[in-house]
Amino acid sequence: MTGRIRAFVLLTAVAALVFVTPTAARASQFLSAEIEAALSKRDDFLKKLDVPTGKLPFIEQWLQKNAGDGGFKGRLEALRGGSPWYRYANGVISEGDGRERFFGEAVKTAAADPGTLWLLALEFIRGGHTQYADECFDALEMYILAVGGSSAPLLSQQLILFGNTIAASDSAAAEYCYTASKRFDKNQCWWLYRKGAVGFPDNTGNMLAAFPDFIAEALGLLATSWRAQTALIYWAYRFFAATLFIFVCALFAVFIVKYLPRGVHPIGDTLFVGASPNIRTAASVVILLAMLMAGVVPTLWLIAFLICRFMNASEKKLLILACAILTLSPLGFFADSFLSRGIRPDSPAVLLERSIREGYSVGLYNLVRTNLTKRPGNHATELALAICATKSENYGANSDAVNKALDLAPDDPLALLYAGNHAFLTNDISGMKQYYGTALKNNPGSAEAKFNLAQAYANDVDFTASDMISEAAKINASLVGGHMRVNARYFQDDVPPLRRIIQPALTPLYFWSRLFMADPAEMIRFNESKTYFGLSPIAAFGASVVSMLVFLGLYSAMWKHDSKIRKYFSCRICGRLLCRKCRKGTICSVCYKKSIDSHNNAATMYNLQKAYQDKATLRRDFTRFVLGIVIPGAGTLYKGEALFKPAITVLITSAVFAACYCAITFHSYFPSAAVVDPIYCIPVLLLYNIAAFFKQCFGLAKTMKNRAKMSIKSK
Amino acid sequence: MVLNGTLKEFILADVFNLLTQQRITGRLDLASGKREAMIVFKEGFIVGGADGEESLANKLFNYLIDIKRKTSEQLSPIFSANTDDLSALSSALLERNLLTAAELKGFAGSCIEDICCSLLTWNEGTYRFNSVGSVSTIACGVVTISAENIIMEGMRRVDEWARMRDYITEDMVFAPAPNSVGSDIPPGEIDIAAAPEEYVFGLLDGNNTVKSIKKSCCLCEYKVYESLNFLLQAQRITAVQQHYSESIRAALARKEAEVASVLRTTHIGSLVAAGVAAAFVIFFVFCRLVLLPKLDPGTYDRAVVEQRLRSEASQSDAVHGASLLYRTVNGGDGKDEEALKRAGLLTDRDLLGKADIYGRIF
Repeated sequence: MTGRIRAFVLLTAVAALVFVTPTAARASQFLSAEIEAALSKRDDFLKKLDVPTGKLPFIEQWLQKNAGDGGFKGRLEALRGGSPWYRYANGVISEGDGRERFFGEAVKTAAADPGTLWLLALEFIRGGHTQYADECFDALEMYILAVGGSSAPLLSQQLILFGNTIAASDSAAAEYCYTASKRFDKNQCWWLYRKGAVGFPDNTGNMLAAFPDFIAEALGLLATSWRAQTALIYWAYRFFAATLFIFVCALFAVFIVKYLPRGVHPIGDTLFVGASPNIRTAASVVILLAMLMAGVVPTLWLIAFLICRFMNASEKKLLILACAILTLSPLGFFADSFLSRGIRPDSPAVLLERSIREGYSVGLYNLVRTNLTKRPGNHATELALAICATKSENYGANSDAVNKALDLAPDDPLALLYAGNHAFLTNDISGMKQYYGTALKNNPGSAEAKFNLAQAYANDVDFTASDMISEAAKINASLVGGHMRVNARYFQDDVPPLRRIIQPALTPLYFWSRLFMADPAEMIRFNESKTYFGLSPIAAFGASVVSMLVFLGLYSAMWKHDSKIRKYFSCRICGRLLCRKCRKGTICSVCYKKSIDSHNNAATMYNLQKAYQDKATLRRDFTRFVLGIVIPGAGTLYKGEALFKPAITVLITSAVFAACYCAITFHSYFPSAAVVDPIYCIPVLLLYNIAAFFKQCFGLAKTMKNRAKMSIKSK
Repeated sequence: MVLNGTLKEFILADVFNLLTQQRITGRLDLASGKREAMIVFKEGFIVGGADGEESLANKLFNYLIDIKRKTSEQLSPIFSANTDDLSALSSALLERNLLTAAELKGFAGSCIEDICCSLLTWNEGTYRFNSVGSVSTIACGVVTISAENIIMEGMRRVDEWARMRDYITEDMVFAPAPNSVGSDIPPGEIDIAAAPEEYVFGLLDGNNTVKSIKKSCCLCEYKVYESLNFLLQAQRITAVQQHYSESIRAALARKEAEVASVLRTTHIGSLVAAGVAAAFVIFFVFCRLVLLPKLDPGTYDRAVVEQRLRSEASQSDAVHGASLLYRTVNGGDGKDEEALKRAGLLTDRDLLGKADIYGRIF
């Protein structure tokens, strides 16, 4: 592998990594309803203070500005009560200890309302009171853990966006937001990127310093997140498919430029007998290219059929390769949907993970229920419903769903663990022993099963639960230790039921072994509504195969024999393609006319021939130059002296273009403002073309110089 | 000096005399209808001339091919490189030993004499003389002929030529007479100055008209007629019978018609071709804009795709998250997409997935 190719592969890998991670870092609706409700409460409160809520000013500044206003004080006093906003407003207009007391009370009063905690946290950040924002975040985290969740991607996304909006005016506060965003969603690495980008472009060093950490974080995410892995594979496939398609188009572009004027000769003979050869060729090419409006692929098929007989053996091999790719192209739909189905928002895997990681939300519960009607036999969706029901304390629904999941997949470790969890929550000791025991029997290395099983023996005198917990900690110290530390920090002795047991996570191993290949028929169902040039993908694939066979059949029937190929010959003056149908002589009508004008003088004929040859050489050089710039490598392919090396260069070019295409068409569930916009990668990717442009210019200048020298010598 | 006028007022012989007396150097251009000719004077002597396609360069090329048996590949580079410089052409031919100086002088002298004499038959037209400093590029530099000699020889030929034209016409076809004996001189050894008729005899194959022989041989028009006349007098050739010559004429007419049809159909046919191509383009554009969207609106109709994407985008987490934050910080309902964009929370990519439209339609 040469250095250039290695560098290219490395760059591609980094680009791919950067492209896929946003797809993995998807936000959710968890806590959205609570924030909406808190917004209504806040707006009500502010309205009563006469704060213009239609176009909200910075609340702290507005309160301080109006602190001396008697009317304002009266309105504020009228709102005295248990509202956290009342305490917050008083804190803003107070000084010293009074402020600290009111702010502390505001956080405490809002402890049971995550939405208000969130809004207060943002106001504290804006006002520079980050210690109170920390308190709010602690309370929020506690709430999330208490309801059985472990993350709130929505808050993480909101913090990044909020950081963006204040980065220009208060970079310290923005950095605080980015750091805090990690706290609510460890499955994203954009906090690091945004933190590095604070002050960019004035502070480029900061960004460069953060870049290695960002890559390390992204790689770590890739190693631990099945969603990042699936996204990487999916985008790698998209990149590969786009590369192949562009490669095919590039090959066709070269062959079209080289052979299409000859290929359309029969069309010209049929339709434009009276026209001059140039017009005849141009009109025929226009007609053929107009077919592109009806579809790219059918037109490429037709072009392949028309031009193949003029190619040499090596070029034919490339054309056959291109046609084979075209034949398989309709199957791309299946590959696309097969790879993307795992990361689609309504996929069972995504729903299952959301139900595990997030607390209960009505939106998620309804989504799971809707999904279950579409996929009635899917154990992952049943399990997701069971987990949602557990978190909503609807143990009846949980029981039904988890039993169905176990019926569908009796040895599924997650289903067993959640069945055990359900038994724990309903005080079913024997159920706990049964499910956790089976899970442990199937996988003795499961720390979660061992830890949770220990809870079943907590009141059992014959067995020491603490011994089991120690064994679990030996198996996975970070998991068990982390779980207990968090419990100790937030809950001390009053640990909520959902925190007494470890919620098992959806690991990459579980995803790839249990979910990725599940329900392959879904792929067909998913593609039922999709069409490929008006046909279903399978019908389009069949049509492509038939087209290929017809093409081969027609080729062997019409043009395989040399005698038929020889019907065509070149004008002996200008080299234009002729056939017995369009001219009887050995020169085309244009040269014939000119030869008549020259009274058959041999010197004039010679000059004519030389002029045509010079013009043709110049045209070939210019075409090669343009092709070499637009599609690096295509110029050499057009020349036709060697095929393998230029074909590889064209493939690399196609990969560059495909990367640009992927960058342009890429969009994630994260707002663009929060992530790297891959569109900025395009100029970097196109450096390859710029280098090719200069190379072609130098090449052309050298050719011209050599030709001028030879011309002087011959004189 | 510039001299001009019409040949009706002042015949060419008088012009020659005038220029000779003045011992002048320059170029005399003649024009009559579509015909154009020129004679080159150097210090009162004639040193070059051309009458349309009858020029020294063309005749020399044909001479080297027909008599000296050189190939066109050998000659073409030399002739094309020296198209505009006759003396350079002469030097190049001599340098490459394609002919000797004596041969060149003899042939060029005879050629220029024939050309100039033929010009004396012009009764009408205009002349214009321009004096120039050097005539090296339009004269071969090896021929110097007195204008008086040309006038005398020309006057002799005028009557004779008129007589010959009575029974030798341009479209006649001649063939060797049945009992005639062919020339036993090899083509390379024919002295065209001494025996031009032997050369012309070799060109008669019963297919070529006088006109085509005149164009393709190395002799000037008068010499061709003179040779044919000599051969007829000697009964070595005979005119092809009327019905044969008619068929040849018909063939020639067909050829002419073909030429004409090539020229005529090119213009009309090109227009038709452009029209047909435009019709095809319009048809396919119609299919693309009208028929295909009806066939598969989900893929082809830009408006449908855009609407679907916008609908999907409005429900996406990105838009929801941005809207929520906008409400938190700025108040309002957070549904104004433009306001969200202005606040830097969203971009077009989030709102529409615009780029994906191209991807999907593509």
